[in-house]
Parts: sequence; C-alpha cells; structure tokens
Amino acid sequence: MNSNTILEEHIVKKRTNEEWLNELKSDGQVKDKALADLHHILVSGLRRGLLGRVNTSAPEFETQAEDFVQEAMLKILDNLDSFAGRSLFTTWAHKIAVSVALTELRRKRWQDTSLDGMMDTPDGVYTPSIVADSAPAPENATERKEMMAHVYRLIMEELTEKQRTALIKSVIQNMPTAQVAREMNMNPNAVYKLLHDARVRLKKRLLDEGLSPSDILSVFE
Amino acid sequence: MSNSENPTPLDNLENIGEDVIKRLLELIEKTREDAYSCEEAYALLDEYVELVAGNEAAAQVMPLVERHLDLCPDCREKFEVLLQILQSDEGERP
Ligand SMILES: [Zn+2]
Repeated sequence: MNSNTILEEHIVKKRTNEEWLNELKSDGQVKDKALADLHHILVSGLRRGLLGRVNTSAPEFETQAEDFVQEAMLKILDNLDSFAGRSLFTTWAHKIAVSVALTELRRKRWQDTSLDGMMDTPDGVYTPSIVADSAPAPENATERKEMMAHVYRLIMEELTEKQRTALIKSVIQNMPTAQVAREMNMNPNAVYKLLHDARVRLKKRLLDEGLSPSDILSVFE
Repeated sequence: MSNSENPTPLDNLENIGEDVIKRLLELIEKTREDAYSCEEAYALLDEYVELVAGNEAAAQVMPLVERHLDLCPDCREKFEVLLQILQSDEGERP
C-alpha cells in the first residue's frame, strides 16, 4: 500500500489512548506534534477508506480531504472528553473524519445525481438493491397486484403524513436519509426515527391482520 | 408542503414497481421495536468496527448495532469506509 511511502515522509509517533489524550490536551510542541500526527493519520485514512467510492487520485481529492480533516479535527478536539476509550483513539478519530466526509460527499453526490436524473446512477450507490430482479411469474400476478394494493392502502391509512412523506422519499424515491432530512428540514437522526416508527406501525398492522412481511414477500418470489 | 401541491409517486400507483414493495417489506421484516437510533449506533461504531476487523463475533456482541446497519444505509456506509481504513493499515489494527 502507498501508506508506507507516506509514512516515510512523516514519521508518526506510536501512542496509547492516554498519550493521545494527554498530548492533545497539552500545549506547545507536544500538542503541535500530536495534531500533526493525527492530521496525517486521518488524511491517510480517508484516502484508503474512500478508495473505490470516490476518485482518490484526482487532484481535487487532496483539497477535499484536507477540508474534511480540518473540520473533523475541530470536532475531535471539542469532544475529547466524550471519548469513552472503548476503541483505539485513532479508530474513534477516523469515525469522526469518515462521518464528516460522507456527509459532505453525499450532499454533493445527491445534487449531482439529481441533475443527471435519478435513474442514471453509474456507481449504483442509490439504485435499489433489488432492481432488475426476476421477471414476474405470471401465475400469481393477481395475488401480487392485490398484495401491492394492500400495502399501499396501509401506507395511506396507517402512517402520519410526516411518516408517509419520509417513507416515500426514502424507500420509493430511494433518496439518502441525509437528503430526506434536508428536504424535510429535520436532522438525519430524526428522519431515521420517523422511518423506524413508520416501519413499526406497518409491521404491527400487518401482524394484526395475520400477515407477516415474509408471507407477503413469498408471494413475490 | 402538502401532498396536493407536491404530488407524490403514491398518487400514481402504476409507477411503483414490485421491487420497491419488496424492498419495503424486507425493511419492515427486519424492523424491531427495540432498535438503535443513528446516534446510538454511531456512538458504538468505533468499538463495533474493531470487533469486525479483529474477526470477533461483532454481531453477537453488539446485535443492535448490526441490526441498525442492516436497516440504515447511511450508517452502513460509514461502517464500510471505517472498516476499509482499519483493514488497509496493519499499524492501526486493534
Ligand atoms: Zn443510521
């Protein structure tokens, strides 16, 4: 891996979790060296982690990664006290950098794919996992149609308008949660919760009717 | 933003394919009431990813994180990127 060549240029000191915390909370050269090392580790991490998802060898990637890591470092320094020490400090720091990077990249990716049209996503990230599935078997076509109509009816009857809107955007339009959140003016966690509650309600209703989701799915097989 | 101003695909049932319904039903099937939120899963994600990277039985140790990742594509992507980071650097493995 090219991480070895990078490490030759920048020697990263090995630290325990405690050393990381102490040095990042200290002053002067000790702190500066810890910051420089952390910065190096996070940029290198994003380059490896995002390989295959974005073009990490494009010149603009360096600038982007730099921005992501800057933002992540601020969050990390602000939240040092919330680090519970149940993982390596670097894993925790990578988590924050990845979260910053993906949030930004998703925003961009969705804007780009929206311009291209939703059906045309070359990287396949937002195409449904089950598209291009088996051709319908003609023998139970009527049963399938009835089942679909029934599920639609449940969506209309059982869900609040907010739940329905989120579900339509997320499942039917296959929109990333972060984008649903922006369009609904909510935070992504709240959207996840809304979707979760919607699914719980639909599941309850189906079970009340003596139907399990797997029973219905078997109709489509 | 009511449905009348902004017609949704549900207004035209013909446009929705079986693949969408299947996807929805699969999500419903995996849904449990005692699920983690994104925040709860995110809080444990570093610990979870180290278990996976270390070939520990992460799903057994932290089943609710696993379940959340099955249902939440955004958190799953974070997990996958994080795992790739750990797995691509011997020096950073737990
Ligand atoms: Zn999530």
